[in-house]
Amino acid sequence: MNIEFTLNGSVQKVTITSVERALDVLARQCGIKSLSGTCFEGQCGNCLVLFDGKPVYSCLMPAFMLRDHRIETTEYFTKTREYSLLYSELTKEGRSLCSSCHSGIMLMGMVLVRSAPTPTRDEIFRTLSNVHCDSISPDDFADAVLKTIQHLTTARKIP
Amino acid sequence: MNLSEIHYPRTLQELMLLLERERNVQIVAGGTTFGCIQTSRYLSFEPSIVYVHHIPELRSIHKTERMISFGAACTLNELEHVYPFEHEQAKNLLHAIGTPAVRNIATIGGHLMYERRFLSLWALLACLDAELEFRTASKASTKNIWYLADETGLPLLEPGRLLTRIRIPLQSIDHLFIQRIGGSVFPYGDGACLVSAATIDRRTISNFKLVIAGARAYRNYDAEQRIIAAPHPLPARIMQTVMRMYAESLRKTNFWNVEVLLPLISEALEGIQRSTV
Repeated sequence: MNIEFTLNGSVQKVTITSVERALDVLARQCGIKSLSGTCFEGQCGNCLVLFDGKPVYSCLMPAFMLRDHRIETTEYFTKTREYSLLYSELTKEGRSLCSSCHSGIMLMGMVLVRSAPTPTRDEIFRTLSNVHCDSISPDDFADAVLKTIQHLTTARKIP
Repeated sequence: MNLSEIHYPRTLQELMLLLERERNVQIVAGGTTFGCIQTSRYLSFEPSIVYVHHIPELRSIHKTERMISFGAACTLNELEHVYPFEHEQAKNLLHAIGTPAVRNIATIGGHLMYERRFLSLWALLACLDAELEFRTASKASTKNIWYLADETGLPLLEPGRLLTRIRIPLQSIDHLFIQRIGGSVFPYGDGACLVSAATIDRRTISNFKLVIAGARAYRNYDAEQRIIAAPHPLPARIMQTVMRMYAESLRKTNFWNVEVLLPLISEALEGIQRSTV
């Protein structure tokens, strides 16, 4: 069947079947390269997308659930100032993000950076728990997110 | 690979008409259950799928002076800030389900209508006397949550009924004890949840319930009645009688591990003793 949904700000029209997972439709038909999940259990976090602004595992979602919803992937944010600021905070002091989880971590970071009011450390840890990755410690991640928010707040105050 | 026809009703009436017309319908609200259980690349459903996410009646939360009611398609994260999940222990239990990304699509209806076992929140909702509103094409009915368990405590889901709302009477909870036992509770784990809730009113225990739910559901009405209306703190002889009642009835089930559960029940009762109101 044909469905329509909004992907990264543009309307997408795709043909799906009931057996497909959202991950497959987004990666194969829509060409989203940041999605790679292969566990199909919502474990790794490499298939995270924002579903009406909320993080969900696209590997757990049947593709027919996409219809009439708003989906954002990491690609939507890569050209924003918030993204570059967060990336530079996360990779400071020689840290590096592992290649498979990079996208999920950045997407969770963007959710937090754009959330209002400023998230607490507990909220940051909880959001990071969506991604199963040891390449960054929860404390380093929280520091990077909070510093990015601080930079952005300061920048907004400067006329 | 069998393909299914997919329907997207926008109102409850439209949904009811579909359920009346179609046979072998599978209702999907969040879809996490299917996604988690079916680990192959392709999913398999009944010949007809009804996706109910867009029906406003199934997504709303109402609160009155006497009860809170939430639609069966509310996600677990949407319930985070409402009764009873505003209680710290209840919130922790909710947070122990999957990750935030799972709870953003997993619905309370899907959680309660899981056919293989009782999932994490079942015991809590049973302790709080939750009532479930079901609809068929021709009528609506309200049943106590225990309607989902048979006489032996096994899950019992009647086909052809749609769970539309969950209602919980608002009551003051002076003591809430929640303990997860065993391994995972989903999808095939051997885990269970023990929950006890009590209300203490003018030095009398005015309400007490203790529910264990996992592969089966358990409750001892006689033991609860022995505690209700007893003075607070509970006299030692009542404590002993109640513990004996639980020990005997748990043994009779030939299912529950008495050695594991009795100390937890004792801990739950000790918690009531320590409660200050």
